[in-house]
Amino acid sequence: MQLSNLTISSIHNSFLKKEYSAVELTTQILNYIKEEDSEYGAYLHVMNEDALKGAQEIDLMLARNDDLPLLGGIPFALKDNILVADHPSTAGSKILKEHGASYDATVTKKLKLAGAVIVGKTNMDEFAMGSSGENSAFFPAKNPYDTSRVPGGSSSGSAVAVALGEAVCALGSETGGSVRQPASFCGLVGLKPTYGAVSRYGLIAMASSLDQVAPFARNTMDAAFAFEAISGCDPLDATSKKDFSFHAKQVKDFSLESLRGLTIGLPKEYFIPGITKETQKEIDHAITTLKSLKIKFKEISLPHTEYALPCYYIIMPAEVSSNLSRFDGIRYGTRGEQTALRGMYDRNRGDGFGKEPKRRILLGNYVLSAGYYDAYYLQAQKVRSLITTDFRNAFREVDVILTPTTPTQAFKFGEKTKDPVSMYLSDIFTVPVNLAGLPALSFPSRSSESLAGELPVGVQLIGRHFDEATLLGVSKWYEETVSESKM
Amino acid sequence: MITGKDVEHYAELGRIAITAIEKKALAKDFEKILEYVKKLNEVDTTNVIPMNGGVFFYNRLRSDAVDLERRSDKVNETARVTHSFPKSKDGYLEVPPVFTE
Repeated sequence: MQLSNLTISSIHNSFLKKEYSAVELTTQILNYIKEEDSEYGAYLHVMNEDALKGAQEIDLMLARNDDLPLLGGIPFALKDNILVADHPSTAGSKILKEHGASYDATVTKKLKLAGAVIVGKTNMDEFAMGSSGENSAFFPAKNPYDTSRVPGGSSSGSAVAVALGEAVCALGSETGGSVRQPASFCGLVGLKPTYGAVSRYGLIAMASSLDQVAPFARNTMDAAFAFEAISGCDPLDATSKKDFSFHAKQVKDFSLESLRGLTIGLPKEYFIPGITKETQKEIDHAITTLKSLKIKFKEISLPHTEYALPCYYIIMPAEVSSNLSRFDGIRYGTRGEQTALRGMYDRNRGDGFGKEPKRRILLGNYVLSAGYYDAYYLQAQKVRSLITTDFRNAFREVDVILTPTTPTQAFKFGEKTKDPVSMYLSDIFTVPVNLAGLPALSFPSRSSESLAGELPVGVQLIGRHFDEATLLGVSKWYEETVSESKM
Repeated sequence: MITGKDVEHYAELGRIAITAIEKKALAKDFEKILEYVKKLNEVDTTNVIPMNGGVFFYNRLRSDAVDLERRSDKVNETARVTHSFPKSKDGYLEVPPVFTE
């Protein structure tokens, strides 16, 4: 069994045909992690015992001939900022290195109910702040296509685990591109759901108005199955949308006629000189492929695009400075030896947080300060409004928007650590989507077999609010076309 | 212009102890980031309503009632909370004394 080729449907069928058991699959994955992961650093914590226990339950169901749910026995990895009861969740930070979750996040609960086997918690940039995985307080995860390069971030370990076959699917979290960007760097499908489509309960918050739990998969249907399992209204998250439900069947049934009825927009502001030749070539290849399916294309304009990243770097730190105040060594975090209260806070937080969280907390305090609030924070909220309106106007003309996911392919370790702004720029095409609360998906321009030593390039599709089905539908057709023609 | 003193002030607001080296580096980073975000001032936002959440949704409230199903979970949750805490005793969290002689 080639672990990195498995899909949810293929595993499900193998279980039903008794080609292998859930315990055998889980054991093989756990062994693979044990042997290989020290080289790639995808996992921070492996849940050997619980994973095997979960797999045993699935095998019992199979022995009893009970109906096996589709996700039954499917190995999943969870980013370390998503809570799994009785297991550590460090969010990639030293300040939480001793923190164990006392409850399951809603997405965790939903995956468990669907029968998925959670194999472990994955590496990440500290508190989901970063675009390379290099901000992990423990060790950086490495890109499976070239270990001298970053896998992207902040959900770096989840991407690496799925690309390697150390999990079949994984959950990450998105605030400004933290799933789409690593999906693009690691040749995966990454789906950022509409704000409100997935519960955030039990996700360690970074910027609450932008955060969303998001799945990684090696193909479109697996991403759809994972999204089906985790989405839906949750009374424990007041921002989760009432009456929203998504069914993977919508994607399976997405017909060629529906595909041909679509108009895809190409926003001229996204095709900028900063895009590398290699990336541009792959985007052109994707457009040509979709045109061969007789989809209409149209040039559009999203005039406020260039303001999205500066806007994000005001709103996000403002929310960070507030959300991270709970990590003080008393309510959460590691308590030092200091006894005087004030000094204790300062020390616990000074010692516990790494460079990037400190930078963002301080920046957040700055933009929220009296005298700067109107100039920075309020202005950013207004610009956010304009960015959202740009998208709304565009979706009157087109059904889906296509852009590169990132301006470049995976970059080298250390390439962008010196200058924070250069690191921030790698999210330039993903951030606007989070500001507008829209769904977006990154899919690889080529199948992994046809890369021939090249690094993967991600294509981004952006859709209307709660229209994940169309994005997944386009991606599914693309995948089929590419695999038939061996492109 | 962001000075070391400014950085100190915002670190203090955030209750974060920073070293002299960090202070210098942060001042430099701040400069760069603020220079970058300054771009927003180019945008005319007269009469624009600020967007202060993930989407233009209304807040959804739920009744303040005990959910019995969740309550049964709570028994386990108490044990889990004490377990996840560095020190605990008989179902209570153990912390250094607040009042001493």
